[in-house]
Amino acid sequence: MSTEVVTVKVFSPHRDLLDVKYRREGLKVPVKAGSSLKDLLTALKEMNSALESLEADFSRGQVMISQGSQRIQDLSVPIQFGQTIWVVDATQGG
Amino acid sequence: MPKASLCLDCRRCVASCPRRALVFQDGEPGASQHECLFDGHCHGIIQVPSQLAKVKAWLMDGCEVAVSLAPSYTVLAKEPLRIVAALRKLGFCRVEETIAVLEETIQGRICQAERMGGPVFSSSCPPVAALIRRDFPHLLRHLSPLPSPMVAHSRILREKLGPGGKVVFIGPCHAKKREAAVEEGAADGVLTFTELFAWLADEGLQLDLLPEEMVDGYYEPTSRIGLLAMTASGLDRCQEYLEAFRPEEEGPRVIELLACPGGCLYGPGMPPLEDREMILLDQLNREGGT
Repeated sequence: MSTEVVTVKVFSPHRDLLDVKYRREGLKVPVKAGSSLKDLLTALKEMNSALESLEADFSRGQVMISQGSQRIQDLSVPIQFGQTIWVVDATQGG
Repeated sequence: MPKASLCLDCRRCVASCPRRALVFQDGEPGASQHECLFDGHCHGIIQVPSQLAKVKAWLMDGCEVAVSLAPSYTVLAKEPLRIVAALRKLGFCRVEETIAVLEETIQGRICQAERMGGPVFSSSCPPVAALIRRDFPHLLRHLSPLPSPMVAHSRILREKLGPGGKVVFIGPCHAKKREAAVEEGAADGVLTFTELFAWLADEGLQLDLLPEEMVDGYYEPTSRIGLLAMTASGLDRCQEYLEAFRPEEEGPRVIELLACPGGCLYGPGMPPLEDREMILLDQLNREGGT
């Protein structure tokens, strides 16, 4: 199965990933075609141990994940290559 | 308070308040001073009066007046930087985004959480801070004593202005008016986006005829993504969260509770809009690209 690269932009003060490069350039994550967002979180965990608890935090409602212009409620949805994925775990209002 | 002659006695305002702070007396709705958190979701019944006349007077008198612009402005127009041009047309000498203080605010709260060895509640949302002070005094040690972004940014902006300069915060929140009135160094005036749009209409300024203009200072559109993440939102959900909160349990170091369901994008000072999350994500994916 072919591998493709997805861009994941991360804004995660709770994981000390505050550097603007994470949210501007994002992380380039190679995943197999047909993978789901759950698979992506597994790949992220392997890339950076700070992202280990993402799935658990998402299930507790403490992480916002979006793909393209859609907020994600269910991690089983397939990755749509070419769309940016956002992973965010904090805000300060606004 | 509404004029009695305008009140239809529909009592939607009473039903809309999760704290049941609205009561009818002599045929008119009013707020219980003890219960009201001034979150502004009661269909405009309880509001701090508009400060527009004061802001206009400063500009007419030739004061240097700077704007601290809340990040949710970004969903108000397809090209939100046209709002910056509009503000300059109105006479503001400097327009900065409140989000300019994002990183130091977050870092400050994380440091505080680490120092105290437990989670910290952010102080960004005045109704939530008031809720903790009134109903959860045992959690006060977890409420961040650091200034909210509005206050922190106002202090920085004021230093950039000459003597007599004024700072106006413009955002989606009525409660910021009360916060500004009591916090030292906060904005001198607060307008909601609804009030700003009414002002633009009065002046005949049409956003789609204005150019896009860059804000002064820090500009990083991707920082706005934080508008979509929060620990809990809506006063009833915040109340439930606080009731169940156990500081010793594993959880986020900084807890963001927001009074408006869905967060500040759905503040009562926002004009009516369609899917705000989608608008924001569309803009970030377009503007925040590499």
